[in-house]
Amino acid sequence: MTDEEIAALVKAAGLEETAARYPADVRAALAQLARHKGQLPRSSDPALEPTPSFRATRA
Amino acid sequence: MSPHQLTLADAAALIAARKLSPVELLEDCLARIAALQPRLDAFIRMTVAEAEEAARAAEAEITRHGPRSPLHGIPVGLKDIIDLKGHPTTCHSKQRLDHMAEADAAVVARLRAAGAVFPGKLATHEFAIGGPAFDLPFPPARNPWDRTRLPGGSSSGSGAAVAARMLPAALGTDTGGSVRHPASHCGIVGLKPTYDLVPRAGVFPLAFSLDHVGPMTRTVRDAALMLNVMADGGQDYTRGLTEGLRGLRIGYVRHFHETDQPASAEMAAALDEAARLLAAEGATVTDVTLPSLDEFSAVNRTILAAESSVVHEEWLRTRPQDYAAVTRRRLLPGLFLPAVDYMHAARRRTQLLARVNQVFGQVDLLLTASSMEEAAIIDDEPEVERTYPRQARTPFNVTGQPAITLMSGLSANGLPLSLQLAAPAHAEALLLRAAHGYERAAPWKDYAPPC
Repeated sequence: MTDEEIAALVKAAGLEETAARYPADVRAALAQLARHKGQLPRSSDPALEPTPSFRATRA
Repeated sequence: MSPHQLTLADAAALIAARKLSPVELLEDCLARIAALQPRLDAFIRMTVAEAEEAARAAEAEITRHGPRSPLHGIPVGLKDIIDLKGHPTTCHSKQRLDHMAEADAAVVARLRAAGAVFPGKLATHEFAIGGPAFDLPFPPARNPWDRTRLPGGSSSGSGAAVAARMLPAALGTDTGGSVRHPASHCGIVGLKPTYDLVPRAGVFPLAFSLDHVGPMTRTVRDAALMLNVMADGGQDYTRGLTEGLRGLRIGYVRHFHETDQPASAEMAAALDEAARLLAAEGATVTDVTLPSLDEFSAVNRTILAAESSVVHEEWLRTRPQDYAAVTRRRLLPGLFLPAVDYMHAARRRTQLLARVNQVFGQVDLLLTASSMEEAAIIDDEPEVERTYPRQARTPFNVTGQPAITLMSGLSANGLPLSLQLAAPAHAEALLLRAAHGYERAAPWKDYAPPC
């Protein structure tokens, strides 16, 4: 990941000051996400509901 | 036997028979705490004056009317992410040193109404995620079996205090295994009940859909007595506890610790021996297959990152220096996580739950590993980081089903080994019955740390 890409993500997350102070932690967080990206199975079933299920609150 | 050595059930029986005073029990526990706290750092705050007042009131009431419940006059420790009225809930963090709880957490209110006494707040990993850490306002709790070792986390003080006989019982919380991890490493009983069976109001959240509150005790019966008070529904979980294992069908999830995350040889042998013992006691034990631990872990990790990010977003932006480094590193990924990943994890969770329930159509309970090895050296950061995720507890945070961890042996280093039993949602009575059957047949409940 380039410095420009990291800067864009940091800005989108509102973490500019944190990234300036703890750049290694921010890089580690992004590296961790990239490392885990392929480990989450993704269903192609459009109707698959999440858990917990979404329900309307009854009055 | 000194009062601090009594199990909750034994202390309750003596109190009910007027052979033990709640004041005597509390004072003996406080003396034990004073003797061991300098080495174990299990507590971060004592609430002695209030506890003594409550114990005296309990003594007077029991003398006149008898005990309200088996918990009347029993000292119970609280992980310091759980509100105790009039005291700070620091979450073991600089971020919350000034926070004051204005009311008891719902579960604390239930325990208080049952007559429990609260002598102090217990160490935790920061916000139940960051630890062990040495750059926090309070030191990390130590393992009573060997103070150079990790006691497990995040309910680290709860595990250490109960194992060290400072208290007969404590509360922990469990989002990715945090009741059962310290139970595994400290050689005690840790129960994660069905999701939402125990109210979470007044407990600082880590991840809303994964968080559970559970009891940590020395015996399965004590866990049942605690759950009687903590849980919704008014069920008596001690009923049927002694019915044994005969006729139960137990699925052994061997692949969790043999291929998914290979366990140490001693842990694997202890699990096989537990399976043999369960069968010898009359259960039918067969191998079953679930989705891999990696899948459960990926779902748990993604949901935890997303849900914790809304809790910590503001502090991560404005006060990042007030976290331990390890906490900051564990929380930051949530702020970069795409929403689509969170929804994929929540949808995959549906499929994982369906698969586990399909297996529960064939067996009554599951036997699995809890931790894959003995406790790491607490200040060996690379080893702690390597071993921390090597566990089989997250599947039951993902499914919300109840799971209990018990001691299953001792390693060559003299440290506890462990096992886990899990059950379908709301089958705590069956789970506790099986755990009690194992506990009764195995020798481990009589083992104590050398402190």
